[in-house]
Amino acid sequence: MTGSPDEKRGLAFLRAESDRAFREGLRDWLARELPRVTGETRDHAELNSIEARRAWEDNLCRSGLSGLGWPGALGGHALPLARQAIFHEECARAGAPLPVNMIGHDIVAPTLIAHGTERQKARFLPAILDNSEIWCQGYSEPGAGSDLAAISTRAERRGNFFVVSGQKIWTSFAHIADRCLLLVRTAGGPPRAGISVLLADMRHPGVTVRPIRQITGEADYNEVFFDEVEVPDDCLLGEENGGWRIAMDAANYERGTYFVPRIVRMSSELEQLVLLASRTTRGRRRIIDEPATRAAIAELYVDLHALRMHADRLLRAAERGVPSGVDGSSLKLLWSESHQRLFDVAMDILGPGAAFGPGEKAAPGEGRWNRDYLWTRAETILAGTSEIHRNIIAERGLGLPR
Amino acid sequence: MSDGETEVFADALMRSTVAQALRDVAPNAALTGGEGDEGEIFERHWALAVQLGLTSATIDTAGGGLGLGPAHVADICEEMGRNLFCGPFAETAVLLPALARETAEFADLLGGVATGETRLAYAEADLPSDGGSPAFAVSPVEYGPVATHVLVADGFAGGLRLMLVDARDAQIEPLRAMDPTAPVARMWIAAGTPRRYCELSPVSAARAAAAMQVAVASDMLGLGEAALARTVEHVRTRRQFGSAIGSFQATKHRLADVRTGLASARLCIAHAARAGAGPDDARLARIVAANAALRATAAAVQLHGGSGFSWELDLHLYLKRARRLSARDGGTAQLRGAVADVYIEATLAAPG
Repeated sequence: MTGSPDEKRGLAFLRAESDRAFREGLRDWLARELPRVTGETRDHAELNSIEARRAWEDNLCRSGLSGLGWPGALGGHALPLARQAIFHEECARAGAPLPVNMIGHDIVAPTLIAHGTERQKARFLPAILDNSEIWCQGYSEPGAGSDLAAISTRAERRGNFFVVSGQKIWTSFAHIADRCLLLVRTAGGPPRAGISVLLADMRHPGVTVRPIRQITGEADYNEVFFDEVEVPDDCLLGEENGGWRIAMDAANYERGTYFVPRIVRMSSELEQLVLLASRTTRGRRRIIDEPATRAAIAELYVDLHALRMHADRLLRAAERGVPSGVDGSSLKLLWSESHQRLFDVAMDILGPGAAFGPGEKAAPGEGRWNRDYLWTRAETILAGTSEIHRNIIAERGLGLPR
Repeated sequence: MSDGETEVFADALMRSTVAQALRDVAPNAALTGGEGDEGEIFERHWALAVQLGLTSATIDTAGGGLGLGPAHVADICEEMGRNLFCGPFAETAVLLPALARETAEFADLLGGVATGETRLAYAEADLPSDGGSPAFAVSPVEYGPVATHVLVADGFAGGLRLMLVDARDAQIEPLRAMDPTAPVARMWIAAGTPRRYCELSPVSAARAAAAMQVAVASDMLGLGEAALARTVEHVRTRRQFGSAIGSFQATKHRLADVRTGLASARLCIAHAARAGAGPDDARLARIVAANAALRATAAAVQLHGGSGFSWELDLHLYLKRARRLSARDGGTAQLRGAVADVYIEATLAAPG
């Protein structure tokens, strides 16, 4: 193995004998690379700009730290889920910037590997591996949110093309995306039976992206208009009219590692919250000494403990190949709602500081609390609203009538 | 028994035997059928626990017990909660052996625990600090009317001060109980009545408390699941406005949260009952299980409508048991306070 490309790039830990050696090697690598790529800044907003996120993700991919779970034949590392979980955990623990191409890496790639033709895999996977193509996911429409099967963006077969017309909305990263995992209607009849998945090119004539300003004031999501866009028919993923199942399989929280970095980040945020409360005084009393604050912190800590238990179980089920189903819904619900509560508590602790706008440098934490208080409102809406997940739990978990 | 996780789920046979036996010996209907037969149900339940060897579950094999670990205890207590076991099982068969592992003071009682002769009632009170023997009264004493001994605990949060009284030396006066599965009493002892004091260090107290907390958490998990199962059955069949009420989202969402809470409780209990778990894990499991059981039993009463409020239907038994159990051992407020103290102190002490 001496002199292998991985070893030259300092990635010998990828072949470590034990999980512990893997973790330690990765930690060393992160400790070296993070300051080199992101500079010395600890500024939350700067570290989380799209540019910083892209730069970090590009570096990960250039260094060979992508395709962790893919088969070796497709250029991946075929790491077991437990090691992928360690990877996400350590990146989160090191405070690494979030990715921007999570849709490409976490949703499109596994879906392509499961359902794509050999030509599609050869065409699209390398560009995900090296991060040269960013993906977005064209699912929701103005008339089809939680009721996703109601989509009306049409794709008509004309010769060797599908001609797409319609509108998508809430499309994260569309403004920087090269390609789109696009859900379209290719037939009438029962709503779920007439849906197909296309691998569309966002640079194609007829695609218009209009950023939507969101609650934080930022604009990371978009409206996307398709006006007679010609998508070659070799970009059809799976069977024509067989897209519903593919779209459902693509839900990424089913895969076991989705919550790992999120829970690590939440754990670090709760620690930061305790520090914030210990430094904040009101009426000459430290907020951390208020019984109500302590009770709120205890509840968040209890939530976090339960979340860890659920995430651990989900990961172990995924390792055995057991679909998470209802348990995935429970975890999504618990995580998104307790994460929101964490920032509700933060706002209470800030008191008058809650009046600062997101990212205001003069605010405690340079406005991160205010920004993330607003951002976490999205978490109970995206990837299935809380209402939809409660329906799933009641119907599939308890057998209540639809 | 190295892997706590498999231990929890491995012994399905033991669990189903306990469950089936409990169902056979005393259906819930016996508790709602009339007044005054709790004593008889207690005797039947207790005799069954002895016959199955459950009272000797946590006593080590050298002492003639089954030597079962916390995961099995969790299974047993869960089935007792699910089937509304009437009797001081956790106090007698879990807490007392746990205390005996920390102090030699109670070793002489273990023989009677295994045979079922010892029945330990439990109360919380401030004890006289000088360790003398003044006249002393305490109420409520849970399971006081059926007890051979009464243990009074003072301050489970830090160190623990205990007083043990032989029930034959005391006046035990039955009082009205919230939970028909747990009769309560007032205990009075005259000045000079013999009693035994014992003090445990915070570490010892925390270990003994943890054993009890896992047992109580498991009981709450079992009763919560029973309440949920009954409620699911009801909302699937009860029709209003032309539909099963279980098809309404208000109903679905409430029960989805109950299910999720109970799933959390099960995971946290398994974690707290595994080898190598500590008192913090037990405390967290206890809090999560109490939240889940209170939510499950309140939803059960609410979603059964008028019949949920009636004595004839046995749903109130789950609510009352959950309420009683969640409030004891300092209650969730004190437990949450302990969680906050430990976590905040550790976080502020950490560098950076």
